[in-house]
Amino acid sequence: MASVFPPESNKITHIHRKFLRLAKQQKLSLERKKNSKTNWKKITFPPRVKLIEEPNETLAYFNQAYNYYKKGHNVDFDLSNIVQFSPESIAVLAASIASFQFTNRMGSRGNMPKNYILRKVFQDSGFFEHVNVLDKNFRAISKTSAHLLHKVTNDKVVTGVAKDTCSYMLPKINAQYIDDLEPLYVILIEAMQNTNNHASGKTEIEYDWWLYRYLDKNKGIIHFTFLDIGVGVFKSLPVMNFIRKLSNTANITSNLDLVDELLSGKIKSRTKRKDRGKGIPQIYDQSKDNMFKEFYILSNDILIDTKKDTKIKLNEEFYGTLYYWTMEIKKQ
Amino acid sequence: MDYGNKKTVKMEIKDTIVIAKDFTDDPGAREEKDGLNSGEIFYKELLLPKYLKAVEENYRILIDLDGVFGYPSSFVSGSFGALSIKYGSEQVLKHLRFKSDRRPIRKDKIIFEINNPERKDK
Repeated sequence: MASVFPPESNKITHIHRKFLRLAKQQKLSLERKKNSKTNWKKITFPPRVKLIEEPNETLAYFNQAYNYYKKGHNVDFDLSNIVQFSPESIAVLAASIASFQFTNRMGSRGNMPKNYILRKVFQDSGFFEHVNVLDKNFRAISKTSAHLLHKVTNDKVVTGVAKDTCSYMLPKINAQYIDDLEPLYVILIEAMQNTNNHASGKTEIEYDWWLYRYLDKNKGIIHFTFLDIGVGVFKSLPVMNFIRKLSNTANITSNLDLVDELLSGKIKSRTKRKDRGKGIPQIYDQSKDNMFKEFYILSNDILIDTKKDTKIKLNEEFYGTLYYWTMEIKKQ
Repeated sequence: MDYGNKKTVKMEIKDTIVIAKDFTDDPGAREEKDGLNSGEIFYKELLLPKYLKAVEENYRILIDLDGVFGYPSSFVSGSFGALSIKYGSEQVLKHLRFKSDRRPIRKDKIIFEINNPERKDK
């Protein structure tokens, strides 16, 4: 008697087809949501947005956007009323909107600040090279003159970017030799290597990072922001393995308890890439150099001021790792 | 001139490596697959052949560290650390001398790595 079930080979083909059909349906549903005129949620930023100064308040807006994306909504960023948007916040906004991990592949759009000065800051940064803007008359500046840089490289450290940044800073801090820029150079290389966009620990590593340089001419200060959007240090494989290996985890009540171990280099990579666990301790050591006026590390729910050696636990989470520092321009 | 080395064993310096001129002024990461100017490339193409010759003919190499943007830890580990793992710190320090007038701390960093090389399989 013939079986009512299809033969084994047909069964596999049948399941495969079913999966393909489901994937297609999901893709279509996503496209429909993305193209829908009604599926938009608005995020209206307050007049002042300062991530490092007011981390909880600022991250709450980003996390609100993240939650909208996660639920399958498109997000409309209203920047019109902003009068102050700190440089590190601009970098985070651009990186977040450009990251599929953050946006869940949903749509984003936004308007521009009414404030002329801030509008120019956004324009000069190259922000709109990375983010769509509703104003059709707006002309974005060319990528070559933008100071907001996004790099995605497969397993490659781009020494040229570190070199160019140091060369730019050389006359600004009255340095005599390129050797004098070593702390800055090492921080950039280590930060590039330390980008950790996934916790899987797979050997094929994608370096996906952002670097933003902003010159505040009035105050004579250059602001640098280096960041990646991903799992963040405290959810990365080396830290998770470190916690797993501890015989007594009772003392670890929050990520705050891991900061000293992280900065002293006690948390090492358990992957094949030994250099991966060394990045943050190296960055921390170099950040002590006098060439840096301020230096902060923000990852997950931890904000570290490396100059003052203080650390705080935040109520809001940052999905990634961010280094923010300032350097003073020295008068000739 | 004191090159910051502990022992004064009489051995002539017969060769030099000026990293900025002979290799690059922007050293990169550890391995070749990490990108340009890696420690591995420096080790394979410059450091190792010169070191082997110095051992064979019993002389020292002076390594000039100046004129470079910086030495990332992974570069140092992939070059001087790798040499130390293969030939031992004592032997390596016997044949290498370091010079950095502009940033003397570099010598300490490299000598520390030679004395405490980070093994990849550790």
